[in-house]
Amino acid sequence: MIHAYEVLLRLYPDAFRRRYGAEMALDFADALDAARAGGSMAVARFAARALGDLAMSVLREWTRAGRLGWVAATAGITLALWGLALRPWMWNWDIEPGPPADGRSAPPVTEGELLVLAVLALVPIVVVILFAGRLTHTRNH
Amino acid sequence: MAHQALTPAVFHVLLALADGDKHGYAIMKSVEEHTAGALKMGAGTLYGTLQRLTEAGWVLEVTPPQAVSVRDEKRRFYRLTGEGRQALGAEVRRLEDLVRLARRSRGVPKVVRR
Repeated sequence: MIHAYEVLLRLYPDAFRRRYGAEMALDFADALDAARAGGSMAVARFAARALGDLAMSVLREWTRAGRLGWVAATAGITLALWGLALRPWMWNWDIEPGPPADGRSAPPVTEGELLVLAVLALVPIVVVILFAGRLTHTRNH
Repeated sequence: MAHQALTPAVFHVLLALADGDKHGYAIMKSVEEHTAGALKMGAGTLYGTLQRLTEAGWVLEVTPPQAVSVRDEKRRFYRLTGEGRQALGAEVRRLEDLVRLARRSRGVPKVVRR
């Protein structure tokens, strides 16, 4: 879990991560140890809180770093990819709720499409993790 | 100039540092204790706040004290500056004024402490 958190820290702007990343990882490890003493539910609550805080503070720090455009573009691309993968223009909006009359049901999205959807949704996140630091670095110089 | 209200995060970090230098995790624990567990500050919020406070000159980074554990040697310690203490004092006075105003006002239910 600590390793996953360290990877997620890469979502912060480069300057912020270089300055506070090591301390944040240490604090996370200590807080996780403390949560473990309270059992699995305490760990789950802690993990949910840490993820929520990370999401909000990543947005805040990118906004402060003047890179809100990148955040908006990433969110836009993610939504567009999900939209394309779900193909709403092919949905049948006339289907009545409940089981189909002929006893057979056709899933709106197949398993293969769901897999493609999951991979596509990961692309912008991976791009940000790999290149977010470089973008800030380039700007600093 | 009228004093502007501090955000809860800024107020609690300043309050935590008012009684001595602390590292980030100690600030988090202190905030949790001050608020009886009502506010659990995450690392992202804490260090974002510390960065802003450092830039504003209200908090500064200091060298760790001699008697710290090996683990704490890796951490930075933070100290409240005179300006930070003034800002905290001004916020406490502002909150006191608000409470006084509310108590004078009719129709405000009396607070029963549990």
